[in-house]
Amino acid sequence: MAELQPTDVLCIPKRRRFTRALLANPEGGGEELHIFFGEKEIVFDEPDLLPFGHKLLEVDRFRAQDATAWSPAAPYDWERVRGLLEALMAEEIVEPYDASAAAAAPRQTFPATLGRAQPGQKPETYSGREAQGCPMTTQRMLGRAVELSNLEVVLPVQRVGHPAVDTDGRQVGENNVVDPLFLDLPTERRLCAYAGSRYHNQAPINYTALKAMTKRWPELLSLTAQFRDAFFQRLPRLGADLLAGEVHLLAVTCLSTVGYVMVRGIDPVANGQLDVGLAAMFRLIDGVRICTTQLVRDTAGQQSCDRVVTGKVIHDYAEQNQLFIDTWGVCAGPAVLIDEYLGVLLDGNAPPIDVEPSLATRLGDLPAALDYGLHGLRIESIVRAYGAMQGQLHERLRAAFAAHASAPSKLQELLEIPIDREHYPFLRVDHPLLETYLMEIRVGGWLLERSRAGLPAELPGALASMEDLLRSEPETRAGHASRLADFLTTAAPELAGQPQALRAELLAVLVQFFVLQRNCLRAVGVEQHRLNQRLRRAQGRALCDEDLNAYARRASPALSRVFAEGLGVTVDTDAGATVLRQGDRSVSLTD
Amino acid sequence: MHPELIRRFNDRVRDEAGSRFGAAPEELTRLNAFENHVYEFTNPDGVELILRISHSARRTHDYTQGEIEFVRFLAAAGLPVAKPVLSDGGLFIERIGDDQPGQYFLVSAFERAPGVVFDDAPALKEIYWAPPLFRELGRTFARLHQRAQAYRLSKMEFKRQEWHEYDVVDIDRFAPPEETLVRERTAEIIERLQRLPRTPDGYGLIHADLHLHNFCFDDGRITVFDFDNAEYAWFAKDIAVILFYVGRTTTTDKRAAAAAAFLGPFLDGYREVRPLGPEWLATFPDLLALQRSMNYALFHQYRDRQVLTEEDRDTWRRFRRDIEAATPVLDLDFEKF
Repeated sequence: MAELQPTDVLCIPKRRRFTRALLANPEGGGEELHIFFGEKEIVFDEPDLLPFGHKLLEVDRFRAQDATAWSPAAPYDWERVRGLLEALMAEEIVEPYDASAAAAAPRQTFPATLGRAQPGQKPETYSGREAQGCPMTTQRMLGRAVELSNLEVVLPVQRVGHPAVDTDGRQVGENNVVDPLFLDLPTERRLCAYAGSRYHNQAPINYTALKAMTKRWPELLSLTAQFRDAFFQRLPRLGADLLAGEVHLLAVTCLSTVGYVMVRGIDPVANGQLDVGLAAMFRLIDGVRICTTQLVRDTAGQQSCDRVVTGKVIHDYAEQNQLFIDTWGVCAGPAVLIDEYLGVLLDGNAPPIDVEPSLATRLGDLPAALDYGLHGLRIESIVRAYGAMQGQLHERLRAAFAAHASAPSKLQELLEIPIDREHYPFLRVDHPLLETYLMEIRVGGWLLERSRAGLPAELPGALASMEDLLRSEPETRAGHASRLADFLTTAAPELAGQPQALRAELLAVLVQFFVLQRNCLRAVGVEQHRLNQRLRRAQGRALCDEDLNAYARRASPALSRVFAEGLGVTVDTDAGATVLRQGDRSVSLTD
Repeated sequence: MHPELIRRFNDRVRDEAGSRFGAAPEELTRLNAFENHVYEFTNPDGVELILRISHSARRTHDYTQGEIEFVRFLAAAGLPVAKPVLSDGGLFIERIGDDQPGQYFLVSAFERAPGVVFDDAPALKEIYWAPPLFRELGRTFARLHQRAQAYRLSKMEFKRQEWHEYDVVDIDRFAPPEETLVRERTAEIIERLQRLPRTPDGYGLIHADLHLHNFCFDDGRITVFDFDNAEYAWFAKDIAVILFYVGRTTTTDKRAAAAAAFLGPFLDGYREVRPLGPEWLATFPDLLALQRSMNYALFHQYRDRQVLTEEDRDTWRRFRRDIEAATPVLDLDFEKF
């Protein structure tokens, strides 16, 4: 790049993408200006450069040397300004101005469909009306046939309503419906002209959805307020300030209510007949859930469920963390409506109207719908924490093999398969792996315990805390270790050649993992049982390890499969027992 | 129109304003308007819109937000008002920088109210300007007032002015210095009005300029627009404003009769929705007189004396005479209605 000359004319073609925050300097002493530009963040921490930063937010086009005058005091030194501008040019924030290119910029258009739908894809969703279809759908999506009565074990409860079609003929999840169920309906998409991180993003806004949303805006605010009030009546706030964890519970439970009307046992809604108000309520609050999902996990070493949030905090967080931007589109909601919505949802503002039919009427049985959300969220928290604990055990064993193995083995080969986005697309990668797992357990634990307060005091068998997933009697453990050691002596004789330290660690991990699995299956079974009762839905078959392995967003290796393949045995676990078999030999572990 | 709005306005501002709401310059059709630059166009979705361009010298961004918020609040309940629409940039109010530091143009767009303004369709007015429509107008006013009672500001910065803060109420600013009697008479009216109770059922945010040019008529349906002057005042003041202009649709000798023919059915319709007791009707003479003084102040504020016709001069001479003599605007016994 040629050296910048004072007479060069520069421009900021996407200036409206800038957002700013004045934050306290972490090293003390005044404020620093943070300017966000898409994923880039520029920090002006030298006090005399703050005016330069502020001016940068305002100008579309300028002569390079004019920037020396962006100081209210003595002009900046040209060499210093040149350095700053060249750095901004290297980041492609500032560009040389090209009048001909600016004049010729064509209006960007987007095709009506994304080309993602499966050929011949018909509307298909989870519905009590077509309960027999659920195993076929889950087989296709998750590789395991799961009946409707156990759906929430394999699918996060907030995503149950996702593929459903509302009475406007739109899918609840719009662009975000998973490929196998995505209908790719003709949609008007437009370049985003909203100021902030979304401005002129390559992904468009869903203008069709925006029009539908604004048409029903007062109704949506009213439904939102009604849900907010009902939720906090059921699960009163912990204090005057709203916490991120509480907002996450609120969001997930709200999303679940839309699934509730589809999958309840009595009078479930047919696909295509979903109330448009409920569908729109879902679409709005899903953005909040996306935000809180990340927010409660973003500080390494501690969960942030206790962080105080407001509508503004959530909005700023989304803006500064690129959460308005997704693969297939950017959030279509204008900032003014987002603020209005968050004001009602989180800040207690009154909606402009009280809509009829009410939320309770639309849901049919509001208390049952809330129960569905709370139980479903507890199930998901347990299953996710289980996955994290499983991941921890996997890493523990992998480390043991790395440290002690004296000979290669199939088991080690399987353990060495990396845990990364390539193998586990839903793995969160904002922290190192072990911290990611620890975070999941912390967050899940908070949600599990807090949601308990919204359910009846008497709930026999309900998991009290996430740590209980690992709990077992020492004598039981010792007995299981001994019997497993006997079984493996013949089932996996090659282990005998491995060092004692490795064999001992393997046995400890095996015992701990099977305890974890059985505890998890029991805990999930209790929640699922009551969930089915509240939905007046038939109970399903007993859950087993492969149900946990089928979890849609699994982000750790299915250890039971690793053990089965690595040791050359079969492993079957249900809530009552774990059975390992090889030929006619077996060992059964019970609690 | 505010002189700054005329002086600084140009085609660049107009074109930029249109583009913010998806309109190409050639799609904008200018409309007659007294206080803003107003255009009509059809947006790419096929929706007919009204584009309004104002200036920060006249209205601030926050103050305009107050109007937008109020209109959206009314529209949320299904009231027949022209709704504000979002720009392509997702804003209800766009700012366009002026050459002067800190000054800017404010651009808003509203759905075009269906139907016509009566003055644009005399034949329709001939048919429909009758008691059934007056009743419907009464119901519409009452629904607006009923809804306004429930309105709560979201932010203090958006608060609209109180009626007495409107600059033309300050007649000292605009009436010529030698017209002392005009000032005294107006001050007396204001003093009496200031003593009126400001209870939630009688005082709130009103349109304040709901005359015959600010609603459209479409097959029996009325849609109200232009809340640019919305202010806090007595709900009775809104009624006095339309009554004032109804009276002025005819000659002096027929004014009282025309107003009476209007007011009876209007109040019948109004009272179907919410009460309006005689104590409020008793305020009409002063509210009407205030409107007359305000119009007189507006005349001095905006009219160029050099281009006035003799008819104009005569009109404003009579305004002055009536103000000074405290002649009732309408010679009616309002409390009988």
